[in-house]
Amino acid sequence: MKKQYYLILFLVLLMVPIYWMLNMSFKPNSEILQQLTFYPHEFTLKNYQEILSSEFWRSGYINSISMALMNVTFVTITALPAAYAFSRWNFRGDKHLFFWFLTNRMAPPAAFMVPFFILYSNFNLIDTYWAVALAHCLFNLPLAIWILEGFMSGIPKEIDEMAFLDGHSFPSFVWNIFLPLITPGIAVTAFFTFMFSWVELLLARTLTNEAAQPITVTLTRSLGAGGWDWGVLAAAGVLAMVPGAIIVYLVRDLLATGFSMGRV
Amino acid sequence: MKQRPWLFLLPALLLVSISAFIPLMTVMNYSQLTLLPGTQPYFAGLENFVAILQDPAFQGALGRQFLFSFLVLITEIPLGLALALCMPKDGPGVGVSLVLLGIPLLIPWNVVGIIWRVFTRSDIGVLPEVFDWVGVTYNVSQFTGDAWWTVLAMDIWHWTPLVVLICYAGLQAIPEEFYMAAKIDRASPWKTFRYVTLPNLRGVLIIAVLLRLMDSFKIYAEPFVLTGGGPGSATTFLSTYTSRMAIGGFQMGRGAATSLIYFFIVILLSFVVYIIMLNLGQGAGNDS
Amino acid sequence: MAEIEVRDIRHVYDQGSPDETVAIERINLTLQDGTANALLGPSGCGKTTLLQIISGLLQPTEGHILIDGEDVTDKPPAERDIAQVFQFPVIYRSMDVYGNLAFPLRNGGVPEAEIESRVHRISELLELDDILHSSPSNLGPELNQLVALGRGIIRADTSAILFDEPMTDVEPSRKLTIRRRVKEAQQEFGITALYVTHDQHEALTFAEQVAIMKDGNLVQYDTGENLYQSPVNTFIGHFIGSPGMNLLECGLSQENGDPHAHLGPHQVPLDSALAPRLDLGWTDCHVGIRPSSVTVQVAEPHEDTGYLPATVDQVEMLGGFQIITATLDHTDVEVKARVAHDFAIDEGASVWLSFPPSDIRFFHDHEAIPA
Repeated sequence: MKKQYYLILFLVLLMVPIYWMLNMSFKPNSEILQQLTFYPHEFTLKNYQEILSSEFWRSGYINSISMALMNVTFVTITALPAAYAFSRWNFRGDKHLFFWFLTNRMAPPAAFMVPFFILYSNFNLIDTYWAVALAHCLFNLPLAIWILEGFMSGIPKEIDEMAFLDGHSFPSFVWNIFLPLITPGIAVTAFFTFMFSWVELLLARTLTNEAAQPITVTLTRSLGAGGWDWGVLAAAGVLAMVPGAIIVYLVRDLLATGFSMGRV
Repeated sequence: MKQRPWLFLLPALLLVSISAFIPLMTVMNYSQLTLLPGTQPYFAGLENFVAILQDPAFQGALGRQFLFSFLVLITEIPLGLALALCMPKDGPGVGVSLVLLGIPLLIPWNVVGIIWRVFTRSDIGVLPEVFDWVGVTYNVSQFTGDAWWTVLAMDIWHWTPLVVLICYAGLQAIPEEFYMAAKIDRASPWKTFRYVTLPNLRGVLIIAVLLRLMDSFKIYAEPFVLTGGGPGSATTFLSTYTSRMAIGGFQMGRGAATSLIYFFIVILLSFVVYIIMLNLGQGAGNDS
Repeated sequence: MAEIEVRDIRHVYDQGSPDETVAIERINLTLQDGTANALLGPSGCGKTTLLQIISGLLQPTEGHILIDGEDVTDKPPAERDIAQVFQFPVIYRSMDVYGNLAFPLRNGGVPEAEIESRVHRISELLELDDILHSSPSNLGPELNQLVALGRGIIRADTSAILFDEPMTDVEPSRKLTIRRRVKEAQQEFGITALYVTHDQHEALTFAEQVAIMKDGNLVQYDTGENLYQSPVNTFIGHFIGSPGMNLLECGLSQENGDPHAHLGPHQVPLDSALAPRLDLGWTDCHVGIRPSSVTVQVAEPHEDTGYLPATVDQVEMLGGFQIITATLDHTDVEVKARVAHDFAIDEGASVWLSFPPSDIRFFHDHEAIPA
């Protein structure tokens, strides 16, 4: 029982910086700059109003969510069959191919920003959702294949064989039997994919200008523009955390099942 | 039937070629050219690579990068594993812990930088104030040491939860019978950890180490927002250096060469770690 | 090397919470020193719980465990000198077979020289000497299970070994070999053994005495022969044997001092020794008879020989014998009978059945009435 206190201590430390930002987002700038207060003495929602009334910030959120969801879709649809192939069949070069896929997870976005920019410029994709959603596949697809392969290997091959003996066609087997079995695995995959796409800054900044600019970029740009409006910045930061917090809360049960199924 | 696996892999291969392979070929191409605005590109061979490797700024960033990743691994992996061992196995505590641990992971990386910036800035942050009370001077934008350990603390804050989650998943997958057998075999808590927990976690620990190694090598947004790479170049890591080369723009060939060197180092390092960790668990067979 | 006594053990999971479940109602059981015992019962009857209470992995809600008369209820597993083999092979995968076998000895601070001689003795007995320095991950589940067994019996002070359905992961064709080696080891060291399983064939071939559990209660603890011949209630009668005992609901009457059971219009004479123990006012009575004790005849018998007419519903060929399922005429009472493999009979045919009085068991309220 005692060891759980260490965990609680860690979780509290985890929340302290977040609390500090939350605290700041409800203060006017005068209070932020004048004295150190552990809770807002002059409570205000002005910072949030400023953000939510501005088209600039709102579109940033919509863009971010759209791009992350697009990326999750691309990645899940392509990773599922690939992971199935790796988990079910032996074929020439499968191990090498698997490692090659993984090496892409290691690719530093900083090293890829220029070639991406050139490539997508040629296809007129710059400043569209497509550019960022495709670029994020660079590190998300290998991760997704990796996680899903682990989950699928945990499901005995006999299940496939039984289903085919029972007269299921391949699509019917996948839809009625296989997908329900790996739902927790797909949830864990989608969670990590969404997470890495939602939080990435460098590629998102390089590949967008205004139309498709995600919230992460909006935040950085506002950092430099016209002095520091700390209250607004903190409120924007809080709002940028909200979708993530909602998602993790919604999928917590699936995550717990997914985690107890074994490999992440 | 022999083509079936490849048919299944085709979508993934196509996607990877758009998102990785073709860009990589482009960098390779550029890295050997010299592109100056208004001039014809000419083939420069390895000239760009040599220039980068000899650049003291690159060497400095590389050295800091290795030190940083090393520190990240030796703190986050043991800490994450220890905290995973403290997690409850079932009950309402699991859901709460998972949600709280998941939050830092879902904060955009530059927001992480912002959080830590407002947390540590000398004019509005709480941390300098706390240090002031205990009589220690602390200033992120002035002292190299302060900047360093703040960036490190931020990374530990940001990524240890991921290690906890991965290790927790691994721990949950160890059947209870292994611990029962260890009890019956009179194993001490340490021996139970050494011979039951660790060997069964080998796979997930490899994943955790590789992920943290790769990602810490790619760190960009958080220190960029927190310190801007300073004071001086004290917290300038490889990504910061590379993106400066690339965005600086007038020397595309240099930027591309930096990217390639960078990519090559990461792959090599991950491969080495992967091989070492695979052999670590296997070779331990004969000791007591 | 030890006598194990289970005294008034009761176990409740999640006591006081809404999920409260009683796993063991109240059990008393004594395992004699050096005997091979089995614990048999359907899934969820509490047998694994009882096993874990004996080994000390679980603290009972009430009651005591005594080893050679000493109360060990509060002692941790390490101090009970009891070994346990689990459903699937539990091995330390970072150590080779030798390291696995030596592990409990090293934990007990046994000198290396003695460890070596004991490991060799055990590995010889279990025929593991060729693979002492292999990594367990390269061996199959059968060999791994033997390694786990060896780890259990290697300690000189092992007083008892508990098996929790150890054959679950073992291929059917290899079960016999493994069971033989387990049995040899048990006899060689004279260890008290308790073998948990839901497979009666396994239980009866391994053990001298079998304890049968149902819904958290110990129903009968006896030799295989007695379980088969004299079940204490209808549950055991039905559970032991395959197919189980025929249990036919009946009425009761007495003619000339001799008791008779009524199956619809038919009368079955009972053992006259039963007479003083029967009460004609009873309801909920059953006669029980093993399929192998039922006599089957195709030709119509002479009158007054006690044969009952029936119609064959089903004939099943089971290798060396056949099982006939027949319904007694004018009733819906089904009887299974075991006949030789070459007994010529077709479904739908008429037969005559007879139940020898000495082989009939009588049950009231599902409890056996002894003669």
